[in-house]
Amino acid sequence: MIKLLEHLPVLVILFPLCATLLCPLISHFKPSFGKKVVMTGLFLSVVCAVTQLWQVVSTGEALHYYLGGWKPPFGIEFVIDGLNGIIVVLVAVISWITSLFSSPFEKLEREEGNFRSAGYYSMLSFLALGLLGMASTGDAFNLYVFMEITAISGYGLIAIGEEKGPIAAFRYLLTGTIGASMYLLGVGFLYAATGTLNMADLAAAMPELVDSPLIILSVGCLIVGFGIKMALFPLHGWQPAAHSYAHPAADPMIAGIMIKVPAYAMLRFFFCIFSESSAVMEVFFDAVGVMAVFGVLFGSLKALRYTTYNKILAYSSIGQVGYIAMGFAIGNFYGLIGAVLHIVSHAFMKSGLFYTSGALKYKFGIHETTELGQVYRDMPMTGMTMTVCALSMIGLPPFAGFFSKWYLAIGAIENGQYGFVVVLILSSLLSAIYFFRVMEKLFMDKKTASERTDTVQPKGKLELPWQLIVPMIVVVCAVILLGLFNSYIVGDVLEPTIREVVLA
Amino acid sequence: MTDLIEKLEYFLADRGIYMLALILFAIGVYGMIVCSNYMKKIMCMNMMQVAIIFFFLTFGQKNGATIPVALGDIFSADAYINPVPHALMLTAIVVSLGITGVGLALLMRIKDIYGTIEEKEITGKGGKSK
Amino acid sequence: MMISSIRPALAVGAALLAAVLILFFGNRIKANLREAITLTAAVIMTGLIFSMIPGVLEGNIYVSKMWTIVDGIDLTLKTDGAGMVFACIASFLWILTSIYSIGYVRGHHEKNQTGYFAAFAACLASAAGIALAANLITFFIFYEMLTLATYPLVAHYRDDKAKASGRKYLAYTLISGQLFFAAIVWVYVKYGTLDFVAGGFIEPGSMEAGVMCLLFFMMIVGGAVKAGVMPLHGWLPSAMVAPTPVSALLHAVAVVKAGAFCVLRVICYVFGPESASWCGGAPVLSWFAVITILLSSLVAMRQDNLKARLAFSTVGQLSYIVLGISLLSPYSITGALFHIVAHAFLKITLFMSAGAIFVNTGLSEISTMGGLVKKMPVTSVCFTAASLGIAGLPLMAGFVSKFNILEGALMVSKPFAMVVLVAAAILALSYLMPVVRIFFGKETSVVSENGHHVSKYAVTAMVVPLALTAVIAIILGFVPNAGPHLYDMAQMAAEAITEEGGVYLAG
Repeated sequence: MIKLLEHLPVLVILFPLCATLLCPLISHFKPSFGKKVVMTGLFLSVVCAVTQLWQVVSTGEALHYYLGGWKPPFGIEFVIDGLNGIIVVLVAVISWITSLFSSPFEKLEREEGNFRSAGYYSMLSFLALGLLGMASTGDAFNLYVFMEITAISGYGLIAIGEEKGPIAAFRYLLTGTIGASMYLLGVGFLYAATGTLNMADLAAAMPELVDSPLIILSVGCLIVGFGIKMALFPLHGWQPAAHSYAHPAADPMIAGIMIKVPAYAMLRFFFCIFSESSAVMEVFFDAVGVMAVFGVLFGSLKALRYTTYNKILAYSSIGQVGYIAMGFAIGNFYGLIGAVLHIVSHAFMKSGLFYTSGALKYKFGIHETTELGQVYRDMPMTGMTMTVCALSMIGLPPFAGFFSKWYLAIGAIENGQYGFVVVLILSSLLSAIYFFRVMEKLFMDKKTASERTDTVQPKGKLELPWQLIVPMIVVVCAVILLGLFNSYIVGDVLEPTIREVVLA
Repeated sequence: MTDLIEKLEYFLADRGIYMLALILFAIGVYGMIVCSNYMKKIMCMNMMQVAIIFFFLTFGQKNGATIPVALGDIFSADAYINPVPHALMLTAIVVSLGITGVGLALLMRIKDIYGTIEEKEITGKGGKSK
Repeated sequence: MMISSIRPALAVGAALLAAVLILFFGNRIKANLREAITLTAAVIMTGLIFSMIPGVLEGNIYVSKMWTIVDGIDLTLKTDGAGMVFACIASFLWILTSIYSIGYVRGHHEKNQTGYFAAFAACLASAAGIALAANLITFFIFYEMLTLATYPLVAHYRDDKAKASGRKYLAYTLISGQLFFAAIVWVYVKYGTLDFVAGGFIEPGSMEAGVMCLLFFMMIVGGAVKAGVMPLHGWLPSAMVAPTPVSALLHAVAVVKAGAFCVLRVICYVFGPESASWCGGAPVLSWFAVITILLSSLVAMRQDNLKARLAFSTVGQLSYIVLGISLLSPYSITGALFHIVAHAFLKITLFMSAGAIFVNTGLSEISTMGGLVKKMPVTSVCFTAASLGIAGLPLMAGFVSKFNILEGALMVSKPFAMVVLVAAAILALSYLMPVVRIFFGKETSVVSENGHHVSKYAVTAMVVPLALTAVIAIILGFVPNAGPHLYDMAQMAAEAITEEGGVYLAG
């Protein structure tokens, strides 16, 4: 048992990996069993992730795991501290509940004859594997590999989605590959300059190379690379289509965490590796700050123009990623706390909203907000999830979104960057407009859909299959609890790491 | 004048190969943006990836060193070129192969749905299938 | 003396729990059981709050420190004098409005009653939270919760008109809320604390005067919008489309009073009288209040819709409170605090009367209400009494508060304020007395034809609360300290503020 505990960081990604490989194999012999393997794998991953976070928090020290026993600089190292421990838990939890969320869709689509359960679940668990790996790894090249694992499974899940899925996936593939290549190029420059790929060693080598042109080049490449992956404003082109047309069951995961983990990686890269070099950080703050401000405003304004539910959510994501980037651009303690807290809370809020989107599609085939008229009467749980998540997105207390905004604003004012506060306020108000518009339709419009017919669910039971309801309950609880008890996450988990590792 | 040419020669000999790799990279990106045929886009994407592979391999080079395979009579590490970029690029080649595979599969799907892989025709159709 | 106690937290928690219970089970249980939840919660909340009165009068402060809500600040509720005044009013009137609501919604056959009662309970929970909040972040959380809880009530009828006024309400409150938010963050970064301190924690001179004035107005705008100070009053009259008990709640108890209370907290507990006058914010605010008092009375005269007329009267009366606070003298602050009480009882009587008339006869325009006294004698008499009270006639609750404000104005020698106060009393008479005259005047035929078929039980549920509030308003006029010693508490709070914050007590 003790032996096993030492291997937690790798177990977290090992379970999804096994599930990915076993699922098609088992499905071949017993079709209904494949998805259970994936769910079990992801659940075990959640258990490991939570245990490892608990270990990190209780001992107060980062876990270092050397794959295959090879110490860096020869081998790959996994480093788990408070910061990425929490991201790993986040990814594991959302992956697991998404796998749960998917199973009713399978029944629905099997009748239409176009759902290949084994492939879908394999890709889902592969996506989880990639994201978990990205969050855990302490090796720059290893990060690239996990990034591409994430991307490839993401392309698949987007392509099997709605009608325009393949086109969206293809465009994402092209843009995403440019992003990954830019990242690889940046890592190449770094390697050329330092001769190591381990993040800790890179950071140690940095002070000697403070203003080498190679470093500046690599910073440019890395900003573009991460920017594309996290859909930061001018580099977001692929995102709205990809998030709107992905498979409705996998969409919560794609929209919720696939753009957050690169954001975390950006934080890790810049604040842990380059923080010694003030020239680099200045470029980074300026570039990311501008991108963030325009992204926040652009995303919110653009979301106003759509009535398609998924499109609104996708554009609002561009704005919300801008919040995270704004936290990076503020760059002091509170700014980073705000950014990390927003990574976590936005992951829950956005996947919650996409759960409702999936549920609406599942039950009534609703895509447009204009068809929402009083849907809450038939689906109270969905209506509540929508309301809570939307209010949190606007940033109203006592939900999670308010508190990340609070820390961001404190950070900005401490730095004297009042412009950021103005942008925060404007974007809250703009998102209030589009989310209250949705809620108005949800609660007050006349029932428009000409006699919505509910063919999937016999009357008198729950509004939806329980597999769809559980994820929503988890998300709602998370949004409320993250809001009310954020100070414990900030104080016990994030603060030590950010003070010691990131801002050291 | 001759001085300048000398300098240029020196620069090309020293850094020219990197410039070539970066030009290849730029051509790849340019092609991905400009070409309207999806197949050509994938080809350009491959060019871009190959450029990065070249880039890594060139900075792993060393004058007068041999391939990183332990030979019985050479014990000095200086005599071998750095094997790490090669190892990394083996992985990168695998990744790029995977991505190309997924891209081609998506193209087949797009061809099924839209009957074409020309971007103009697809956007012109506005996504109406079959 | 600070006493750690869970009673403040329980009081707010009871109402919140009721809101959640009603929301989740409201449609599955019988209507009577649902209303029982509301009433039980109201009684528990009132009991808890009133049980703390003796302690508070002895100078104790009950504090519930719950948990750290953001880095370095606790979610804390405490019972100081000012907060207790507001909390007592809110909780006590919740019982009465609940009884009245039950009669109203059943008599009027409203739809969506579950959502209605849930939002009502949430509103009251937030109002109590606002009253008892011990620091700005706790205050802001409940303040925004109040905004959210009121929205479904304003947009209750879900038609285009309701939607439009819902949007208007949100636009006003959310924008001001965001400014308030930015100001709170600013204060926190600059001063490192958000705890309310009687007399304020912002020192004059700790910022440039202009900048501090900006900060002042960023905070005040949050309260001024809800208190309906012109030119930020636009949402209030259009929120009249809501059902009448909601208007009563909005106008008399929760929302507008929360706004006025916010102004009090900001001026007296964050800035302090000294800084508020030093930066020039309070004098400017008092001018806004004066203009509002006069203009709103003039506008009220032109309204034929009874509820609209009352709405504009609310706008004016709320500015009395704002004026009283911004005069920054102990008497005027006492008066302002007591006006929260007096106006609550008086205005709720007026609105409940308007609602009772509407449900019974279907009338909402004043000109059609001739001779109402024959059909609804109790309601008409209560309406008359409350009208006189609003105008500030002696021996009515309104007189006590207004006299105090006047005295305060005299003390800081601001004669214009005195003139305005007297003029406004006359104006108030001139827009409310015509209504009374019509009630007692010739019977028009409209009254008898438009009667709803309302059960006797529903009528009783409406008339009893409004008679009760009218009687209490009169009693408070004779003995301001009757019952829970609200006047003493107001005085206590005002003294604490001015003693700590200093300059004006002497002279």
